[in-house]
Amino acid sequence: MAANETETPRTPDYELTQRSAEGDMKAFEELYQRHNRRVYSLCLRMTGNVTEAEDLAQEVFIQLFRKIGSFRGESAFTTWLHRLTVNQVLMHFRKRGVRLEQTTEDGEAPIQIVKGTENPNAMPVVDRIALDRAIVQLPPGYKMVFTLHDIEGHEHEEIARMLGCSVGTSKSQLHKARMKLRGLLRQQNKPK
Amino acid sequence: MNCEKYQDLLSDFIDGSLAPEDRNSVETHLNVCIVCSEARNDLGAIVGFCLEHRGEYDAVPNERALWLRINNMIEVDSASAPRTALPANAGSWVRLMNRSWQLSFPQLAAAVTVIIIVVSLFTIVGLRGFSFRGGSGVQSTNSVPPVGAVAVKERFRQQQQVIAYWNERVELNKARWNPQMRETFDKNVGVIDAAVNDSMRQLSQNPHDEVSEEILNAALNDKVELLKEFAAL
Repeated sequence: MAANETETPRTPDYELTQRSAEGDMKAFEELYQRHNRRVYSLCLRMTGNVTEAEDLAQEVFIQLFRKIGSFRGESAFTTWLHRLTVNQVLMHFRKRGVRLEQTTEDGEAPIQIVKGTENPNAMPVVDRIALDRAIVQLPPGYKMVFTLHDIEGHEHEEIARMLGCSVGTSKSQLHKARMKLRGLLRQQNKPK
Repeated sequence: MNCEKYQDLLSDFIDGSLAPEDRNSVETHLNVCIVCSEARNDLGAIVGFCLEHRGEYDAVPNERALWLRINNMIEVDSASAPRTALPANAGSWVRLMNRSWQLSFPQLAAAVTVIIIVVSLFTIVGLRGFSFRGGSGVQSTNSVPPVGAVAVKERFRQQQQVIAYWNERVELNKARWNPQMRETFDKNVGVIDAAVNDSMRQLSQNPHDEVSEEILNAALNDKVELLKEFAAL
């Protein structure tokens, strides 16, 4: 299922965006071919639902077509598209009325590790399926920061700008997300 | 500092963003505390796994189908998009027709009054002409070729072309629908088709039946709207 998106582009993304802005659907299709997996993966991690992720990815590309004329090539197209995707995902959660947790009012009980009660084998070796299953269970705010930082590789400053929060909040949510994931992975490993 | 405090610093410790003195303090603690050391290892494993697999993406279950949906939505969008800016050399008639009109209430009332007067005048003139021809009027009506019937057929043919286009779009998506959705679609199409067939039958018996003509038009428009809606799903 996972695939590496490393094909070398024949035409620069910027040129394709210019042609797409003029209504060239072939150019837009080429952009879709190059970037649909990146967009879909982020949507999938955030929603944990294939259908919902597909719908979100669809909405991202429709928005992309509407706004493509405003891309001036000042940043990499992938960065620009990524921000568009994150905005779309955030809007999706806002529409659904999901609150993105703030560190001060998340109400999340911290994961307590009581000596002697944890699985003696500790956390299992991390694998893709187990991690994805655990990520889906994270609260949306944690999920977003974890996906952006650990999976996508963004810096806290960038995440804070994207999500409209402070760097401290981003760091705090990332730590809580990791701790929560640890707990979830341990739970998955517990004998039933 | 207790274990809880040390564990709060673990993410920054792993990311290498701790101040040197805090880093030393955490390192010292980890050397003596198994619980915190285990937590560090676990978080490290999660972060390491993510780092190792960065740049790997999940494939869309059906890339082609998703592209068709996107393409279809963009086409629908473009069809309903507002008119774009006119070129500088556009003629005055084109500019007039592309202008967005906003009338105040007095302007609107005046316009309606003028339309009523003009229509009344034409009606009076028409009635006079009819009475002037006297009894031959009926005769002449019968001898006129059925223009209405021809227009209805032509309109029907055009609408069928539009319907065929949207039908193709719907067929592309149909495979993805669940049985309930398919049933809803079929039921709606069935009702509309029944109305179309009924109106056509009425019109074939009486080509001047305006009510049937209106029902036919409405049904065909409904069908196009229905197909557009389902083509987007």
